[in-house]
Amino acid sequence: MKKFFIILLVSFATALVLTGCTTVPPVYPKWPEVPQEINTVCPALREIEPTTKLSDVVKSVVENYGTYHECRIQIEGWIEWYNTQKTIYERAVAK
Amino acid sequence: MWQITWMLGLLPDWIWHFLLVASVVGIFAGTLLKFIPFVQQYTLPIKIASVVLALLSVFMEGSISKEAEYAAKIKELEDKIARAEQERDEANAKIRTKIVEKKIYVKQNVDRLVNQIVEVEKIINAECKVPKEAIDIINEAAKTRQPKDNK
Repeated sequence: MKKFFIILLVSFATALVLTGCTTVPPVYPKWPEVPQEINTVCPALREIEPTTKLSDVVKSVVENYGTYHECRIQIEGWIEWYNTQKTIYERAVAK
Repeated sequence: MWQITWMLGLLPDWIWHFLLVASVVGIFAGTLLKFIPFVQQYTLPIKIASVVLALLSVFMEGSISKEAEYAAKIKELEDKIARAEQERDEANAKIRTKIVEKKIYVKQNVDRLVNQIVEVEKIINAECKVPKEAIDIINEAAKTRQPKDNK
């Protein structure tokens, strides 16, 4: 009788240890979309047409500066996008 | 192993509650029946069957409670992710607006300066003639070159 209860107890303990050996289906956030405004390649700088006029040169230089500034805005956008998305992601997956 | 658990999990939960109670009753009944003549020969099979059933029921009870726990966890995670998705969409919209506004400002500035150049073109060109060599150097600087191009 005593032996039977010991076996019973051990069996219950084993069953309890093995209880609910199931896995949690993974739940992950989707990869965030990048705004099209920053997901473009910076254009090449404009070359100057053969000329002797200084005004044409200055015009091209000004336009190239504009291109640089636009590209800089895009890079700033990428940095801001990354930092914002990282913060949101970390907050979402934090326990 | 998980296939068996999955198949057993298809049964309604109340069956496992009932089987657990029935098996515990069976274990005690098995012990008590041995004092009744004619029936005592069945005590061992009843005990064995009850123990097996009890073990299975305990396992499935644990599985049911774990499933419920995981379901709650998944729901919580899904809610968090839904909130995060909304936040990131709002953040993207803000970044988009900011970039568009800044680019418009840059374009307007370039246009204004180009118009200014046109206005003072005569003054700029009056005392200076740009040599071809200077333009070649500026154009060279404007080109994107790969390291191998310089060899």
